[in-house]
Amino acid sequence: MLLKELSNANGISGFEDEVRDLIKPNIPSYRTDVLGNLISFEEGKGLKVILAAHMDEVGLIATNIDEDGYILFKKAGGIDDRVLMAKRVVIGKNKINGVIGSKPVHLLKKEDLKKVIEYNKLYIDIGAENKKDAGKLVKIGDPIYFATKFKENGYNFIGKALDDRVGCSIILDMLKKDFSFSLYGAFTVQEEVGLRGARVVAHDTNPDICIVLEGTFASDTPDIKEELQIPKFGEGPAVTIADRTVICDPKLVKFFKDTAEKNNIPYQIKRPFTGGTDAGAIHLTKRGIPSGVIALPSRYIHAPASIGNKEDYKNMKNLVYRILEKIESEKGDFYGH
Amino acid sequence: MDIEFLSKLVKSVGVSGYEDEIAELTKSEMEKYTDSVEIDILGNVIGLKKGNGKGKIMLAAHMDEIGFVVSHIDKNGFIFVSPVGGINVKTLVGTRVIVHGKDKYYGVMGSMPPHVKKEEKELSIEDIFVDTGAKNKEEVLEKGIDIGSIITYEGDLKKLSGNRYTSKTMDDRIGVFILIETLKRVKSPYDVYFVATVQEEVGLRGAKVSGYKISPDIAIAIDVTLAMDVPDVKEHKMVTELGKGPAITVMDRSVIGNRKLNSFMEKIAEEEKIPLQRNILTRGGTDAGSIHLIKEGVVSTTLSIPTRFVHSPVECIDMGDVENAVKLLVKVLETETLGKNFCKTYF
Amino acid sequence: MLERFSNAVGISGYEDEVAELIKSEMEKYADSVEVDTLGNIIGLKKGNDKGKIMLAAHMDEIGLVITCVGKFLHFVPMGGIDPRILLGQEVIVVTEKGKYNGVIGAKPLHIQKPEERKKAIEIDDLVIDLGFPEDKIKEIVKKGDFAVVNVKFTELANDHVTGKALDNRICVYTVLETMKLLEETFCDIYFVATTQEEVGARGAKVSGYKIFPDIAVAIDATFGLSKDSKEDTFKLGKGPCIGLGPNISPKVFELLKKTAKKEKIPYQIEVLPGMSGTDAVSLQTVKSGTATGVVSIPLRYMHTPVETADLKDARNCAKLLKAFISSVDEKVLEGLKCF
Repeated sequence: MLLKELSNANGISGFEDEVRDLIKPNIPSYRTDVLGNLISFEEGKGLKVILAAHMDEVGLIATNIDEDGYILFKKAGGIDDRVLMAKRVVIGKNKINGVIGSKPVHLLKKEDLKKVIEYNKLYIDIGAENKKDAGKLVKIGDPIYFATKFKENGYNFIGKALDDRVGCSIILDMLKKDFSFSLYGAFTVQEEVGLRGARVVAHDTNPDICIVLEGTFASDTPDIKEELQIPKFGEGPAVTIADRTVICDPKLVKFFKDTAEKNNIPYQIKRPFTGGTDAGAIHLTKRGIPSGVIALPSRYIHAPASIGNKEDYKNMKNLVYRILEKIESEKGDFYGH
Repeated sequence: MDIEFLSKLVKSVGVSGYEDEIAELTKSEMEKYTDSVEIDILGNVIGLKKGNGKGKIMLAAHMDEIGFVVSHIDKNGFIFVSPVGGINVKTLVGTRVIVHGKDKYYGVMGSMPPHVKKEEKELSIEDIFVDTGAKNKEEVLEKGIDIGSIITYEGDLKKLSGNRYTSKTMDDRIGVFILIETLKRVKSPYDVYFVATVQEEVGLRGAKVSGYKISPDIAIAIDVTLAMDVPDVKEHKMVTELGKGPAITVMDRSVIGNRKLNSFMEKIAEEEKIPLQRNILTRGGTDAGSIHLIKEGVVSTTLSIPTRFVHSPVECIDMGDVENAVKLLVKVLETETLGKNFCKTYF
Repeated sequence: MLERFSNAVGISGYEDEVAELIKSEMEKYADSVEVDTLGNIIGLKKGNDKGKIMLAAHMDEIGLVITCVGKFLHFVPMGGIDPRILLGQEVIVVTEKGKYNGVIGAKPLHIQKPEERKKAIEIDDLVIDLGFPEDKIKEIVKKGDFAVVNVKFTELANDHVTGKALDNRICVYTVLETMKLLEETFCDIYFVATTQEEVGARGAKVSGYKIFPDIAVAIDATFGLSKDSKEDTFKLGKGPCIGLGPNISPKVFELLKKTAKKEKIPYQIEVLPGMSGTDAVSLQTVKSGTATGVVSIPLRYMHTPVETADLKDARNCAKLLKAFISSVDEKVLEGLKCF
């Protein structure tokens, strides 16, 4: 499954090369734009539909090497500082191994255990002797990734960057199919730092409808109150009514829900007005573009290891396919166009 | 002034993203006075009163109101909510609301009682729930209420002393009201677009796409601003005062009002003896924020109605300020030199 | 020229005076200069019409906007200001009737309680005193007028300079110096003194749309290393900082770095993992996108009346920009979209 390679590939905002190069041979034709977005286009008749997913993941970036050869860093995208302690990382194109160091418990005072260590007090150890030694392996500006390797079993998969490699993976599957309408597959950049890539893709392509495929959070964990536990892991893909960046076109939302129901695909509604996606940038481009979002609810996104549910993934893929199929069968009469 | 119509406007339902009802009302009223009315992709209502084609002016007032959507219904039928727009949680407990399902259903907002909670912390939206009287979740679902259903404040327009009125959603139905009153009275040489925008409360969104479509030379947003002329507020913190005229925006968080346009309008106000205040806000924005940055830039400012208790169910205004706002807008739109100064297409 | 730029007044949205000054300077070196809807000054030096490069440096400074006029003037900040630096500071209040000297008052030691001096000052505690009787003040000052700190540009030791608004007038100066150095170019070069950067890179958004360049470089100030700011700062005198991160095109970054190395111009690298906080944020997503770069001059004590910079950095920055522009050819332009 290409999802494995996509999850293992490294690409933080602005440095999506590896992910881009992995996707390219799997699409019939493409072009790149000045921000690095990867766009494939299959010309058809009538409606112009765009499927969008972002290639970038959250990670870190090297800002300095200190005298003793430790690497100092900043965060690229939203990460809770507390997940960083004592994690394995990989640095740059040459995939240099490193660890985010952490004081042994034996040497800690009782009050220390209560404190949060902020990212700028953390450091990475690559085993170098000193600054010069480290400088041979790591440069300032090198991107840094969690060293998580993708694993799966019959029920679920664990990996980094499920947000949003699952979206990329499903778009690749859809591009293999044939539709009579015009279909853009947009693999966007820099979503995690402000929906940047999507903004310019929409301006250039001018689609009639936009469907964003995302990885979102699953809220059914013990630390969340019962009434806030939506969407849940294992109960189907999540359809967005509204998040912080977009209120999805209500006709599109109804269309997604109806399609799911007609095809007996379980689905959920994402917790309203939380999170943000590329749809936020796309729907306000030029005169406005009706947009919707379908996401895989994964546990622990924006952390080193997320868990996704295989049934949810299958159902999401199926839902997206049925939606495109229905658009095809309406033959241009869809949605008042 | 058609107070009846204002009464209909404030009662009409239209939370950001769900403006159908208010859009319909606005459209049918606009159709009486415009050359054409259309609704764009996001739901903005755009009415055009053609002039001599010597310039395009856009007036924008937002139709959407702050409110809530249902995020969860517990097994006992209590409804938990997500806020839409800037909600002040302190104003919620004990408020009457309407939950919209197959029909409109009354409810009240309550919160977890303070002495039951473990620690003393500030009230948050997650502590708030709506009680519709239902005994269980099924009773709620039967009414067509589910995740995503909208909830609005309940309330009617009420007359206070003198020329003052209070209601929910003066922000910004009073702006829509001014839009229509201006439309009724004005005879302008310019093409004037009267736009009732959507989704202002969640990020000035409707104005962005309707502004792109129209590409005006000049834009004036009509909104409300804070009037803090109430007890224990020092003069320099009042922002504006009720009854001292509408206010023109020097700056808010989203826009620095175009100074040439502001001077132009202030000069006309002075000539016509229309009282006008100046508005400086360090928080909050208006549709002008989106519009002035469209394409190569649009000369823009905002004209606001001083309002007490903004974003609460009991916003208060002075109709004298409203009448003055209409008078000023009409006069500005009818002034020939407006085009000469600002419209590239004039000559 | 830098001295005149630093001393001129112009806060976000009120850039008139400094805009006029910059415009007249630009007219000496540009083929044409125009002013757009938001007040951006756009100078064009035509090349061979093969592509467009835009250099953007914002001309607005931070300042104070008057909210209430009485015996004293109350105000709110325009842009980010630490209120504590305003205590005891001289200011100039700019009104339609002219400029007036004032002081942001400070209670003398003699009548303060000891605990008062331990409390940090907040904007609400401060007022501007013009020393005039109240009725005269009401005649000359109106709500919405503005004020800036009253600080005159001066030289320090070692090629260092200090003055108000070096953020970003030292960069505007640098851009003009670049203009002077330019000879014939492959591309058309647009020199833009942008407005309203301090409140959200607004001028850049509309001027960027109008021009829609292939390459857009934002020149701004960055944090200079000083005694109390050692992290995330850059040494003065060690050269301009070339930005690296998602807000910068990797092709533009590489070319800037290569050019600096080739011309033996000292430079530093500034990692910007999110958005850069400069005009580049707006410029990058104009229409279908531009290839952006960020070049910064280290500045100590940013957003205070004692901003300090090293002129050597400004001169090296101009050299770098000139060499960069000269190295942009057909191949570079074509390569911008290749990923």
